[in-house]
Parts: sequence; C-alpha cells; structure tokens
Amino acid sequence: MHATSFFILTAATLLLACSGERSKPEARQGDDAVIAPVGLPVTAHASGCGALKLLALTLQPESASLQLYAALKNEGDEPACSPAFSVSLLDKSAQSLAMGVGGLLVQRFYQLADGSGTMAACVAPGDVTMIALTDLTAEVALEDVGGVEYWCNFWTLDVVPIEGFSISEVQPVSQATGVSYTGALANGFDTVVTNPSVAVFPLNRAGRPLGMALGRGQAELPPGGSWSFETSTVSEPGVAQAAYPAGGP
Amino acid sequence: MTNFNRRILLKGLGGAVVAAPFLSSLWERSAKAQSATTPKRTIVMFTHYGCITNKWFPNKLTGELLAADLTGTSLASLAPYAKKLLMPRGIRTMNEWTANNTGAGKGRGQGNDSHTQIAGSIFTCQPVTPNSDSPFSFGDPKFKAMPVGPSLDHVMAKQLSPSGTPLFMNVAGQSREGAQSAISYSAAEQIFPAVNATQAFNGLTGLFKSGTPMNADTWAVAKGKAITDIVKGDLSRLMSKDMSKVDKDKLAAWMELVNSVGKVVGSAQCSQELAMSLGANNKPGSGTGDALTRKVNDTMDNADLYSAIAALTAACNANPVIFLKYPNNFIFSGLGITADSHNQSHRLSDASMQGPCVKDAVDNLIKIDTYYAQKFANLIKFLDSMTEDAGTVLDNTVAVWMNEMSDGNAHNLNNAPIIQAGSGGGYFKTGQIVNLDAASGATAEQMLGRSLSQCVDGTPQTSNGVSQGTGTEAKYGNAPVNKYYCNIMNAMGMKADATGFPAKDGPANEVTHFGYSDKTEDFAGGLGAVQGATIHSPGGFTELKAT
Repeated sequence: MHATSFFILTAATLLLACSGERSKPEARQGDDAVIAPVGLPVTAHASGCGALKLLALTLQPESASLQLYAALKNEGDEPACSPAFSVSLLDKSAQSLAMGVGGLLVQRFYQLADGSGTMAACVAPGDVTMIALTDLTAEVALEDVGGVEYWCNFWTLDVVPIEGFSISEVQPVSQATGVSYTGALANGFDTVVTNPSVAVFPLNRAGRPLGMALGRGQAELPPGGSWSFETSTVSEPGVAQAAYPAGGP
Repeated sequence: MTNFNRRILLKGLGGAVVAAPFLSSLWERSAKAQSATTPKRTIVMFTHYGCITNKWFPNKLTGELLAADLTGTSLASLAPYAKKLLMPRGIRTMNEWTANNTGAGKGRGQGNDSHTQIAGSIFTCQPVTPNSDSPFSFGDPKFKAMPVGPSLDHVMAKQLSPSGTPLFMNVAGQSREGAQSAISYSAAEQIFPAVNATQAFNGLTGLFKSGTPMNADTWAVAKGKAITDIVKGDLSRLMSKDMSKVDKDKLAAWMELVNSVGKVVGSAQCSQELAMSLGANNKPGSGTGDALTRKVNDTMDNADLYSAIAALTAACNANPVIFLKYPNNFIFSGLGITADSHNQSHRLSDASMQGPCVKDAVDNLIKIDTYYAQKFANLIKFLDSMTEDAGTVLDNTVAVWMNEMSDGNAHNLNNAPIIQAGSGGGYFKTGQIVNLDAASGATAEQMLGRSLSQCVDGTPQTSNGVSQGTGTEAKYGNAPVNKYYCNIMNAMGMKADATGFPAKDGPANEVTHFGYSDKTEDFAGGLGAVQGATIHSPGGFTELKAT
C-alpha cells in the first residue's frame, strides 16, 4: 500500500488547530506568488529536470545565509528515484555566485525488481516533492542574486512499490517564535529505522514552500512502530503545510 | 621594494626554511634543500564524468609511448609530446558507488551518491560524512556528504606553497560549488572556493611590470644578489641581539642556506612579456558560445586562458600547487552539443540516468574527450615553451589530467584515465606507458574498457547506468591511486611524519601513506565501519620512477 498523501491543504484546518493557542505570526495572507522574491528569474539548466516540473521556489535570507525552498511535481509516467536538485545562484551578469545541491524528499518507497531487496526512494507519478537548501553560502546577499538556474538528477529504475513511512495528524502549534508542527510517523518498512526525522514545509496559497521545520527522533522505530514528533519552529506559517519523512532506513 | 614581493620572496623559500635557524635539524635538512634548487610544480587538470575509454586509451598496456600509439584516440593532440608523457595504467581511485553499496563489507564504497562521494574522495582518499548505506535512498546525507580530511592540493600546498594554499581555479569561473562536484577541501568538510582567471592573474601582477622582469627584489635575486643582502637591515638588527655562539652559528648557517635555496625564487622570465607571450594577460572572451570554448583570440579559448595563467604561475614560482577544475553539468555549445555533459555521460539528454539512448551521445562524448585532450596539450605547450635550466618548465613539472571516473555511465573508478606530462625534475619516467596492475592479467584489449557496449550501432539501445556494463571489468585496473599521489608528493620533495603521512616538519623524507585507505572496499559503510581499514600497500609506485 502506498503511503498517504501528506498535503494538508486547507487553511481552515490550520486556523482551527491554532485557535486558542498562543499567538502566532501572521501568515502572508494573499500571497499567491509561485516564485519569491517576485520577479526573480528562475530558469532550468539545459539538462533540466526531466519529468520533474518546478512548481514553486523561494529564495530568502535566513539565519545569516540564503536559503532556498522548492516544490516540484513528477509529471511523468515513471517513478523518479533517488532524486537530487541542484541550483546555481547567478549574479546580474549570469556568472555563478554559488552552487547548492540536495536530495528531494519523497513519500513513496520501492524495491528494485531484481530481487536484491535494495530499497529505492522515488517521487511517484503525480506526487509533489520538496527540498530545502539551507547551506547556501553566507557570502552572497539576496540583492546580488540576478537569477537562479536549476537542474535535477534521478534514476529511472525497474522498481516495485513497498510499504514505507506514513505521516499523519500533522498539526501546527503556535509558539512564541513561530509555529511548530506535531504529528505521527509510522514505520511501514520491515526493518528498524534509527533516528527518524520529518520535514514540514509551510506553504502559501500557491503551494510555495516558505520554510522548513524539522523534527528529529532519537529512538529506534521498529517495524510497525509509530513516532509522535514535534518539529522546530518556522516564522512564516503560511496557509497549509506539506510533510515528508526526511531520512530513510 | 614592495611588501608583497618580499613576502613572496621569503615565503617562497618555504616556511620551514625561514624558521630554520631555530630548528636543530637545520643541517640535516640543508643538504636536501640545497640539492633542490630547481623549482618543481604540480599542475592537475580535473574533468568530470569519465570518458569513452575505448577511444581514450591506446591499445597498449606497457612500453614506450609512441606518437603513433595515440593516433586515432581522443588523445591524438598529445602526440607531439609523446616523449614527455607518462601514462600510468591500471590505477583505481577510491570510494566507488555501486547499487550494491549497502554498508560495511558490501560493495566498493559508500552508498551516498554516484558523484558526491567520488568527487569528495578522489583527491582526499577519505570517506565522506554523513554516510549512507542506501544507494537509492533520498535526502541530504546522500548529496551533501563531504570528506573527512583535506584534499591532495591542500596537503601539498601546506608544505610547498608560499601562502599555504593551492592556486585552485575553476575554468568556468564558478567560485563555490556544492558537495556533488567539489574536489578541493582545505580540511574535513571544508569546501575550498575557486578563483577565476581575472582573480588568478591579478594575484600575479605584483610579481612583474612591463619591461622589467618582476620587481626590484625578485629581479635582484634572479641576477644573483643574495637574499640576505636584500634583507640586510633586518638581519643586522637580528645579529646585533645578544646571542649565544651556538645561535650565531645557526643564524649564519641559515643565511647561507637561504641564499642557496633562494635562487629558486627568482625566475628571470617572470615578466609582463612572458604573460603576454603566453596570452595570460588576456581578458576572458565574452562572445557567443559557452564559458569554456569562447574565443579569447585567434589561438586560444577561455579554457586555454586558465592554462596560460597556470603556466605563468609556475614560471613565476608564485605557487607550486595548481589545480584547474573543469565544470560539471556543462553544455558544450561551442562544440555543437546541446545536452548537458552529465546527461550525455549517461548517453541521455535528460535528468533520468537510465533509459533509451539518445542519438549521437557517444560521438558527443568523444568530442568532449578530444576537446579536453587538446586543452591538456595546450597546457603542455605553454609549459614546454619556457626554458629552465637545461630543459623547460615542463620538465620540472608534474602536469596531470585526472578524471572523476573511468566511464561516466558506469561510474566505475578502476582503470582510471590518467595522463601525465613532465617528469617532476627527473623523478618520473617519461615517454612510457606503465601497467601498474599487471597482476590482474588483463590484456590491452580488456583494458580499453567497454564504453562502446551500449548506445552504439549494433549494440543495445538502452543505457543502463546501474549495471556498470559500460565500465571496465571490476577485476582489472585496481592499483590504488594513493600510491601515485605519494609519487607526486615525493617528486615535489615533500616530507612525512614518522608513519609516512605528509607532514610539513618531517622528519621522514619520503611520503608513503596518503588517505584513509587504499582499498576501495574499506570505504563501504563510511569512516570506521570496516575493521582494519588502512593503507595496505605503503609507498609510491617504483615502476613510475626514473631511477
């Protein structure tokens, strides 16, 4: 059985969950931008992302460095496995200022069909995947960035679906410094998962990730076990959120 | 005189020499220093995504390297320099990614990413962290892992360079790369930023002025004036201090040593005229085409400009450790190729790394290999055009073209395509092909590899990057690259600690150990996962040495 979709799309749910809680930062109501900063040129490198189509991207200063969040959708017919997303920040004359790479987060899990039992994490057709690049150089200021170029790599493999992680009951919790998230991650693998983690992305109305909150467990999660998580906080709660397991077995 | 020049002048002697009067090992070391008056340099050209091995290698595993051996290969442009080339065959670089890399005792390396761990380990011979035991998993550890130790350029520069750092240039002008393509690490998990052509050239211009070789200080040394005369005032003040006879003797010995070794610093040909003759003073081309192949003038493109600056840096003795890194994910539009070089290495035109072959992918890869070979040939030409002692700057240099992997689709690291020019001042053989893994029993035919086994007319038209079917059979070509790196360091005269690892202050005069392990299987599971991971075969390759 496939893991369930983790998009929690209704603002009503979020607002209801937060009622009666401590005050929370005001969401950017009315923010429909798919690219932020608005007007930032974002272009695919010639190698592009294949079936993975960029839906939205945020580049913003945070914690004394630039951080980038992106959402992509698999519009192809096959799972995109072990996917990576790369960016080059360009200056006004299109020279590279800095590069970054990271793994796209997925919600579906497979095994190679060769009988080896090797696990593969893939973006299923129709699924949305997200990424946070939080280690871009601190030496580049947002105003110096003239554009973002991106590309992807992934494997197209002969795979069969298996049980994996599922995340449920994701709820925002208002905190003094922003919003954190609680929820439960269930281990559907037939193996123990050590130090499970979850990434939750607050979204604007266009589905653009505004930041990322991380929940990290210190325990071993046995097959069939469940872990109740609480994430770090994000300052910008958005109007919805998407949750992903942030590490595999 | 300028402060900058004096710093270069004195630091060029090596920090250990400058500090020598206060070291008890002064006299033991002076003999070695005095014999090493001719400067030596290492220049490494690095390219991504392997090659079409069947066209890159000559059909020969050992013996004299003749110009005719290169005919019909991607290396044909190197034929004029055959007598000054050395092709070490059968080398394996460390930490290969395969679909079976699922932890200690399984596979040929870590299970992070087929490029991240290779780029991170190729010049460090260290595993990357955090480790992944799941080759097709996801998330940051796979793609952001970085090596747990410094890379060769920094290990060498720490002993050899005036600044303690290498000249690291990115030929496409990219300064800060991500872990998936970074190769230069100043320390564990510390990516070292690259400089571009303009920055590198500007760093040299303090050494010379138009019409006058270098500035007054360096010129004076080149003309034979003693360094101690130039810094006479400083030394007089030092000598006037109340010192014991032992210390005075040491200082006198140091002055003699400095004057002897110091003659290597001044290079009479380090001038604006030399910069102009090499073309190093040109500005990067900004016309149409790609960042590498844009024309600077009628005879050179942007990539050649970087080679010219590298050659000028070598001639000026400004930095003896120079790395030229070519870009990843590059589109060679100037060669008429519209697909990304990584995708092409998988014989594809999009982001998926397995699937139906695209037309002309193999031909395009051969075109790229041929282009790189021409760039290496031009670097050799620059170095060989400058006389030094009885030979040329090339003769006192180790110039090496290293590739990220062997075949780009297979990501295999055995049978590494490596070609060297220059003997490093007589340390290395030249004009030879040397098979360093003869024990494997591979024939020359088998060591051509299997790059043409997919996506060529008459062969399967599906590219399979997982099976490694386009790579050389894994049982062939496994002599560890660590030993070659030891050779290079020893050619440069580097010192080692008592265990044989590079160490600025010695006491050993030969480097025998480099990296975490020289067995790629030891990298499986990451740092510490395989018990007994170590350097199993210490020392350099004696087969590569001239004597």
